[in-house]
Amino acid sequence: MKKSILALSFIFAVLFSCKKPDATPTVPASSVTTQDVVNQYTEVAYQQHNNALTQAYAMEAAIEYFTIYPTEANFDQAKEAWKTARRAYSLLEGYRFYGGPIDNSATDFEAKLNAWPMDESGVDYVDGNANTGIINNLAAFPTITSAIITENDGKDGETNVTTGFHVIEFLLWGQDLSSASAGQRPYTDYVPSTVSGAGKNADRRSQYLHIAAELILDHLLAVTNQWKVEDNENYRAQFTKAANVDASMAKILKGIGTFSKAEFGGERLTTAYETKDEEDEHDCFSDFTTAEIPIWQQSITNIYYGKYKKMDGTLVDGAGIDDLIKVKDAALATATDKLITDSYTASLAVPDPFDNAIAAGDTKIKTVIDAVQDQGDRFVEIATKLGYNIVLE
Amino acid sequence: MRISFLALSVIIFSSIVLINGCNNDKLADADPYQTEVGEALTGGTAGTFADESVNAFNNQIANLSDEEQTDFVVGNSFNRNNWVTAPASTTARDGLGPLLNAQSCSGCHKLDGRGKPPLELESPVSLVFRLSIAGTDEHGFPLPVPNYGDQLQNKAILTAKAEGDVAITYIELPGQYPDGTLYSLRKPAYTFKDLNYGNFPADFMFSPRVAPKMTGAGFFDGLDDATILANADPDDADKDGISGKPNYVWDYFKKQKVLGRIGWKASMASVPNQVAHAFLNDIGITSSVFPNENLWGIQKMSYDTLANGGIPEIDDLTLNRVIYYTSALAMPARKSNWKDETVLKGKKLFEQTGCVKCHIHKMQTGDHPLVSQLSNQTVRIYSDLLLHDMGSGLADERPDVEATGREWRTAPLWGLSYIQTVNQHTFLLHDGRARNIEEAILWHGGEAFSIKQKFKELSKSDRELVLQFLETL
Repeated sequence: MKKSILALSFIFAVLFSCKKPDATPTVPASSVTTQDVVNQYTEVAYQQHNNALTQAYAMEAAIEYFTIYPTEANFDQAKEAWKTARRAYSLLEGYRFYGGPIDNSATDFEAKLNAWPMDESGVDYVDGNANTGIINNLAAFPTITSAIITENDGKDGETNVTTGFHVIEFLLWGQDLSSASAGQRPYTDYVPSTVSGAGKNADRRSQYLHIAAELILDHLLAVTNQWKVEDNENYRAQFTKAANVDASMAKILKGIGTFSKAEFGGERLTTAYETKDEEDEHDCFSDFTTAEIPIWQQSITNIYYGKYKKMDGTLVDGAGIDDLIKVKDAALATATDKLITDSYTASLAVPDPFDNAIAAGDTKIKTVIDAVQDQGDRFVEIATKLGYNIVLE
Repeated sequence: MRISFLALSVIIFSSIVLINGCNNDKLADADPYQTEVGEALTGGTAGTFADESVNAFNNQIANLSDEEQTDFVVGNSFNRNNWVTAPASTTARDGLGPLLNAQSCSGCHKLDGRGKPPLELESPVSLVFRLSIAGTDEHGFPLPVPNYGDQLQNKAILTAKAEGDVAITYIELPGQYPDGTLYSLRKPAYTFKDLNYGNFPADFMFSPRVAPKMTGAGFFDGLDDATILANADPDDADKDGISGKPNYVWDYFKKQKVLGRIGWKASMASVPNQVAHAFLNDIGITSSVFPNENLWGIQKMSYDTLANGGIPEIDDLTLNRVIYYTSALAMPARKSNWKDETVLKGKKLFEQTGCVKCHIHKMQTGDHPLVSQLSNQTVRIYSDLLLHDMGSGLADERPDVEATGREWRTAPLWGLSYIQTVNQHTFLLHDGRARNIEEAILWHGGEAFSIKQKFKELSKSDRELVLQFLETL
């Protein structure tokens, strides 16, 4: 199963990399239709999801290799692979908040992939409790299986978080107990040992880590399939139907508007900035949040312009929301270009690591908050201009 | 968006005022089911937001300042996200349990909406059980059950044991309308099981309570006592068969007895009391108001040494922000078809049968203690927020401060029609036994019996109209 998908992914990568960057030339703005923009949205969505899936495979492979050969070097490789997969995943944030493939209430893959905060002591030992978590609880969980992990995940909504990117992050980095660095989990946590204390339950930890990585693949694959072009029954097929394009366009704008204002600017940055609680950051174990912040903005930018630069440098480009707005209100289009650029510039300026910036109340965070919240309101304005009545969450 | 909607409403409603002002008599003739100015603005001009989507219950009221906006956003984060077992890296969010019903507010109040009973024989999630033995404590609250406390926590963190569980079964009670139409109501039966801290004593009492929607509660705090008491008639002095009794309860913030407004028996003083109480009892989070974990007797001995998430586990600033968030949630406007003729006919029938005697449709807020925008608003709660004897069928036989085992606070009907959209179910009443609005009406007894009878005597098509009206609230 996994192998064939991996192969498929490579075929896709090869196929698309054969195309020249200008294979899909930008259509002159004046002739761009809503249908064009929606079509391009789904193409960029597919490309970005497929990339996230590909990188998740690479992460899973690196993790599997590390669990078989648990060395410091392989541990570092696994962590690097997590970061790469995480970067690719973060580009998908703009596809939320309209009940689409990633966060519709029936499957809610977002909660399975990205729930936060996670129940650290429900998974493994924590500072002050060496024997807690599914990994260390042999009595209740004699063997670690994906059934156990999924059964204990997301019980009662987004609770008891026992799988997803943040769980893998916790299992690779461990708790971040020092402001000077990220979490310092030793690779020896994964080295079985007869010495008392060292590497306790290493085999079970390895199993858990690998299963959690496999679950990411299962969930991401299911989401990606909804954006594939071949399937007549899938979400993309429905989304791009002529009868649905207006509703789809409203969803697109509601999605990026809500992500920008309520999630990015509100939940993630305002809450951290206001509480000044160091670890009220999303990648609190790896201290990777600062690197991710510009990617959240990039996710919005890519959707707005209908453009995505692939890892190999080729460009997926086509009709964007900007093309529709240029015709309706050139001044608004120009102002929006500036707002998006400013948001990105501000997001690049957030100091690293984010936890120290939070504790210091760095006003550069506030600059991003203001920019992306304005940006969220701007998408509502744009929607109104295009004739859609949207309400942000 | 908010502003444009408001502006639009103002325009629409001022035109109605204008028309009304000019030809009042003519309009009354032409429209026997007259609409009212601002009728669709459930939470008043400031407290209403038109949204018929799944997010209908989690919009903010209009015109928040930047600072209020921040309180709202941060409050929402701590309302929505889960709390985790201490110790954890996310120190602001740890301290869960040891005993609990849910990991977050939204665990039961999904999208700030309403909970539901579990499927038969499954473990309840958004339905809690209040427990007590005979007698009252120094504040008048029911006495807790030894070794359990006043609520059954059916979940626990890994290092503790849940108190126990409940199995629910239902029996069907067939009934018939005077016109011959058959119906069936389901009555729940509860079996407590897997009790980990000893058997319940003989005088043990319990009351099942579904998580009500959070949205709207903030408005209740803005009503002056006199406004609520204007409808009170505890001894039925006017002999209309309807009492309306206030429940005076202890306010943990003000340290005095006040008129209770919140909860199925109005046994909670205010939103701040409710939020702090729920953090402790439902999630196991201590606060400056409730500084001790909800551990009783042998639980205390077993778990006192477990790590906590700070003293207290939620700081005052964060607690106040969650309180603010809850208070500043906007009510969804009436459904867009509120002016349809069938709906207006249903409204008339709802009035004529006497439902409005308790489901009072319009009140005026005074000075809101927390959210100034909600002061002096005409709000359409469809409740008097007072206690009424609802008969033996609904009785839990568990007194709660001044509420008897047969009394319940009139359920506010506003937002009723959005539960299905937001929470994907239509279960109603305190324990979710009613599977839809019609069944909820048919469960009415006690003081409401004769009014329920009037509803039953309506023709089938008229009953449909009443339900159609309720489907727009």
